[in-house]
Amino acid sequence: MKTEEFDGLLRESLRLMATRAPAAGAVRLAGGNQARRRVLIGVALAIVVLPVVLWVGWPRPVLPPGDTGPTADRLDTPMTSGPTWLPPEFTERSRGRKFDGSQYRTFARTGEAPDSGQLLTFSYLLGDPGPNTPPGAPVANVEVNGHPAWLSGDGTDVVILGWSADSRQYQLDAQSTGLAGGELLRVAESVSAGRSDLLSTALVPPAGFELRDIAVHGTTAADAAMSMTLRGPFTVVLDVVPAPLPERYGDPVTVRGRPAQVFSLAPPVFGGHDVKLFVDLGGDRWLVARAQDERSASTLGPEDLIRVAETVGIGDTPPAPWMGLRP
Amino acid sequence: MSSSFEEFVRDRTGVLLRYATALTCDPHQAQDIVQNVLLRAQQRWPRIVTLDSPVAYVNRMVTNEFLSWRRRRAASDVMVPHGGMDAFSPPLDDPTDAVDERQAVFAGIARLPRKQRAAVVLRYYANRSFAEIASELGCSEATARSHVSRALAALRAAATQVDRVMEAL
Repeated sequence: MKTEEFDGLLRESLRLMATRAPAAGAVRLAGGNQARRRVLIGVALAIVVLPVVLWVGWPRPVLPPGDTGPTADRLDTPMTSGPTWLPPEFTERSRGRKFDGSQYRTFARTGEAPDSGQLLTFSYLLGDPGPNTPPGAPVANVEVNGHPAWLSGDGTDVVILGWSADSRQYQLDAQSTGLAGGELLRVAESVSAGRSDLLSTALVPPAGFELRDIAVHGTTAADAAMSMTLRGPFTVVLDVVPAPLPERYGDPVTVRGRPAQVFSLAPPVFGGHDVKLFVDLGGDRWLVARAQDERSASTLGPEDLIRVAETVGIGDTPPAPWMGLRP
Repeated sequence: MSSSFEEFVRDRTGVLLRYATALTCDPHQAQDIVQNVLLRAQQRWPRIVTLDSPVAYVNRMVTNEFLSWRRRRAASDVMVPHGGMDAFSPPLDDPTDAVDERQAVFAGIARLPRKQRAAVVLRYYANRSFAEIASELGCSEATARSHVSRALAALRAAATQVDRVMEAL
């Protein structure tokens, strides 16, 4: 693609992305008098509430966990491959399984935010999946423990190392990590195919949807979240996260017998639809669900995503003692 | 020029929301960012309105809020970090090649480190000069150029990969 064509594609993509912005009315601000009134009310409440809090302790969340719809048993998936050495400061952040049977684990530096994009992803496919070819032209041909391997990337932030061994395809994808090829090779050479690690989840897809990706992710064991991507009449991404979310301004609904908010994004992109749903599951857990349907004739509405959220099986988030630690 | 805060909000909220959406790739996060920024701007408005360009100042507040947003965003999205095996996955059944390329660019933008993402949005969405980008991001012009250059290289790689897949089909 020529430079001018690519520049045009980029400008058009960003312009389309910007059209997904919510309507200006979605932003709510207090007026000057209202703001002052809120401050006064806040001060008054603090005077009244603070002594009570100091005396009896801060109240627990109002909503306890309860009957919140279909449940799910814990499902343990063995993860038999993984690196046994990581560069300094790197810890494990997520484990997952994709629809094609591949499994992956991600690692990031301690203190790096989950969404920073600065990740080292180790992934592998089992069962003689065919030749392991680079996504672009290989930068270099190397060896991993005597097996032919390739290094690929865009010459800047992305370095990918791929190789095959023991009827498995392996890939290490370093995104904005600053890791050199030599360090990737050392990680690759430490990979052991005989590990007994687990990916533990408690999510069951609803009828009519195919599981595309299931994962556990977070920064430490205390904030482990479960996620699932589903493909059916439309695509759904579900997250069960352990922390309350910032206040939002969607339409209030009841889902799984719990308070929830639903958003239908407008204007749609590509003639499709995009709906997002937040459900307070109680016990400091939230279900975050997003449905996307990019078909121009889409009739996707909030009720479709609510139906999925009502019928998906959700169990207790299994412990993830490995999260935030080095292997 | 909007003289009152209410006029500023009426005139600029839509623009700020679209800019924040291009930055975050997430309309809800964009809404949170713009809302937080406008609430803070409201408190400081008597001082902001005396500046040469209140519009540029508030725009920079949005950029800074985006760059510092990482802690609060927590685990609200899961799609971005899970791209490791995308190269092995079959292409999505989108109706046209153009949509494939745009999707690749969308995904590539979402994977960019924040400063690179901000730089590329400022350059290709807001049409800023490198000097303006440097001022907005609080870095040198050379660093701003480097951010844009590295972002473009990553995005080109994503788009090229789609090209290759489409050619192979």
